[in-house]
Amino acid sequence: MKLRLDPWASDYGTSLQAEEVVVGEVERVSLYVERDESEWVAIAPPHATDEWPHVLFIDGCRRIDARVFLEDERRQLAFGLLGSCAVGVASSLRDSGIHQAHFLDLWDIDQVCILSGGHQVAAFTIDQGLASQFGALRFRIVSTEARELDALEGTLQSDMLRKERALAARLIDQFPDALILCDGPRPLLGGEENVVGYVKTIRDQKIPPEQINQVRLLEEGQRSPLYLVHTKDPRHQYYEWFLRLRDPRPWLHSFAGLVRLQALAGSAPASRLAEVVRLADWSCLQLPLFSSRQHQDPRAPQQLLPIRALESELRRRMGDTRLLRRRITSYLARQGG
Amino acid sequence: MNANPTIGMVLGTEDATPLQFWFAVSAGCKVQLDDIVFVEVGDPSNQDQGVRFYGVVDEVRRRFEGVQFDGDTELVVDGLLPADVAYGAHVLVTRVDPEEFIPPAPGDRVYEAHGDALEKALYLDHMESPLPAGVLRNGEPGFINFDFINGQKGAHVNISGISGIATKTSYALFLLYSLFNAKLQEGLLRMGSSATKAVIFNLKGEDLLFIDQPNSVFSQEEQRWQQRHRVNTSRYSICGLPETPFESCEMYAPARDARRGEALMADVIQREGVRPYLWTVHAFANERMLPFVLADREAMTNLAFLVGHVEEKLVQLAAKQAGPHLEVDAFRHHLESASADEEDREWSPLNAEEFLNSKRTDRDRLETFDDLVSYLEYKLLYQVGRDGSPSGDPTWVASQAKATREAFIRRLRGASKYLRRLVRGDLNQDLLKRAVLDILGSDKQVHVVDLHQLAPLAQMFTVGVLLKRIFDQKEAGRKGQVFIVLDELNKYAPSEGESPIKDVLLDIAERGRSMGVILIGAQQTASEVERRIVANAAIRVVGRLDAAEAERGEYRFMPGSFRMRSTILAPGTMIVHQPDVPSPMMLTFPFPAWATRKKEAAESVSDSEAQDILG
Repeated sequence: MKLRLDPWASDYGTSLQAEEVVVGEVERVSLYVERDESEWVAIAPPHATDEWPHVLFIDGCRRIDARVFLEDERRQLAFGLLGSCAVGVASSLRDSGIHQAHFLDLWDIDQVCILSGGHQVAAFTIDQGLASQFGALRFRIVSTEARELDALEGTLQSDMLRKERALAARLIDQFPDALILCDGPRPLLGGEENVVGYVKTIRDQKIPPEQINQVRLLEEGQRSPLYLVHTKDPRHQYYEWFLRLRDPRPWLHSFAGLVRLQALAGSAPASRLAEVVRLADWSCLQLPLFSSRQHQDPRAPQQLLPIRALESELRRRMGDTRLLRRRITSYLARQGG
Repeated sequence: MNANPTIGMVLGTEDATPLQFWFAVSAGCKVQLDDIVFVEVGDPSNQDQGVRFYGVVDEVRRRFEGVQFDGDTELVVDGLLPADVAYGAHVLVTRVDPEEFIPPAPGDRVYEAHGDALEKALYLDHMESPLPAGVLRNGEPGFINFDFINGQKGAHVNISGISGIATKTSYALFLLYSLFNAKLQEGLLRMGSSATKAVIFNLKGEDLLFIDQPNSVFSQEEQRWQQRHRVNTSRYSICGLPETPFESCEMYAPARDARRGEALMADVIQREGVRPYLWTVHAFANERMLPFVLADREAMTNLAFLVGHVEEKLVQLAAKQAGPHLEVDAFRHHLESASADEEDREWSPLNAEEFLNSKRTDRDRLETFDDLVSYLEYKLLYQVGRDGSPSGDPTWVASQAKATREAFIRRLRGASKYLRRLVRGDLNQDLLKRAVLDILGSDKQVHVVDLHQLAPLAQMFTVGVLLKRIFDQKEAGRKGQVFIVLDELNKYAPSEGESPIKDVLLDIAERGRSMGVILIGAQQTASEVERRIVANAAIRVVGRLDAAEAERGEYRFMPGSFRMRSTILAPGTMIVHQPDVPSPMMLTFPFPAWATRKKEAAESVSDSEAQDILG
């Protein structure tokens, strides 16, 4: 027995057990869709593939700027929060000599007011109070029937996911040839084939311990064979595989540097298999290039570089939370006591 | 509101102050060092009123925005990491109009200055008489306020830079050319240009003896510049100057060491028509030239008094005579060595009469510098006194110790081998008339005095004597202005020690302004020149500087970015600072239209020209 280190910074939970929103209800898993039981071992694709030179990375960011209570003269009616929610896209084009990485101007950033217990208020705008302030804050109202405190954050999260889905849908139209990589589980959209989910954490293990042991043996740039995840709604069935972005150092635990990828299988999985195998091979060769190093991100190597840049850009575009809080305070103060 | 193009906006992530600010350069715009810009700033208390801040870009930078680590650069270039390029420029404010010193606000538009805005940024609207000083980096002419050269508000130009690269002399000559040729406003050269003279000391080869001839490679060189900068006009026409060599020039070179009675020839090889110069023994005494022989008189403080005393005695001696020689009581027979000199003197029928005359009387003639030294030796050391011992003439000795007198004579003897060709009393008046260096009395404007063949001691003597004479004449109320171009100021006016030449230069620096004696001085290192001489120059010019030198206090008039850049300036680029424009200008000056060496002097007719002529 040995103690082994988790590479993520301790305030991010662990790479084994971070939050994950379950996408579609999983019914069962078919293990041997790509390889038989005897051959279910690490796969190292031999050749570089230049398919999908254009990759779009989607990510979202959310932030609670203030917690509020809805009150009347007699009592507190509901609790709520004022938050910011932002999604965006980083594009990476690496095609025969053209190397370009930039943000697409498809930002969706706004302020939201979430209230519990199904309560509603009118949407409101905090105008610039002083000449030195720029911009106005427009709060969208989202109401949730739930009454628990935790549910507010969940609502904010799903609001963000909704935006991500909307953005992914736009990208499918706009860039039919690009591969769209979503930070987090594959969003439920429908029949889109180019959208890949990128799961940084390994909490929800859908395969038995024997195969998990094979996964632990993966080396850098190797993947597990595909397995098929059946969902209640057959349209949302998907293939999933493990990928090792970096060889773990001997002092790290054996899941360090592993990610899971999800690609559409749909209601006729067999017809999609060849395509997804190509995609999985591509991921072995290309994604390690994008992986971050220990000094670059607290969630290295799973946090991909474009997503790291996108997250900090989104946080920048959401504005400084202290300034927002000050604007909110002075707005509520002007409303009268 | 204005026709100047927008090139960016004031940054909000760096402090913007009334004296300096950063701005973000708009996509597709090119902003470089020395660009002149302005920003329109609204008065926060009165939005209708704006304040304009004019300034010069003194730093530009580009960097990836949104990346954290040095290693990210490679990732961005490989297309793995998205990032934006931030292009920023820092502006040093040179003018605030009206003078409301509020800070520019983030997001305020920044414009490239052209036309009126450019003139305001460079304070041209304050200059009654702008003197073209070169071409700015934006292709517009740069001007110096002539009032700060001609003595009206200030005077003197000081140029620093490494020899060979800094093109100090070339720039001094260009300024001079501009002075004589610019279409200056009326009354600018106050006494009228005919009364305006220039004296240029030539220290290197015979280079400056050709400035009155056109330069054969000039048009080729200037066209190269035009092509590089994609302009159709030459830098002369940008500056509004003609493309001609210097006019109304006179060249002088030290007289060759000629024998008695021979024609006087200037000591030059390549140039013809150069006037020889020398001084008579009589003038040496009468015009108090003795101190300039002992240039480093501070080496022996005791000598100072003796030099002054002997100088005075010589003036008295000369007062009753006409020259060119000095007549004194016979003394040679007292000097054993003198008889040897007599033997050496060659017999020549031309001077037979004079020679006999000198023998016939009880008077001796001092016809050479050596004669003069011998006479002083006799007076100070060997004249037999009342007590019968050879202790010198008491009225000359002035109670100075024997060792002092001996040291004095030793030094004069040491100097005589350098000076005997420059100080003579054995020439007839006709020859002498040609050889007198009378610059203010000449009808020519530009006077080049060659020193390059002279030993350092003789150079010091010539410069000292000439400047003293000019200064004395001006002090006596002679009209007109004199511009003096002198390189190697560190030799003539070093920061440490005293010397008679330094005194003259200090006089010029401190009082010359009111008398119309303007010094265009140059040196490698300003830190080695007497501080008051550099400090009195209203216009400071810097060419390429040595890196260690650029850090010295003498160059603090330039902002840091200019000091750093002064170490990488190309030949032909100068930084010019003038009192009423807070930020220095960086400019290039045109290739000389005059020859700067023999092989550039266009004398032969080219084949194509010959064909044109022949038709």
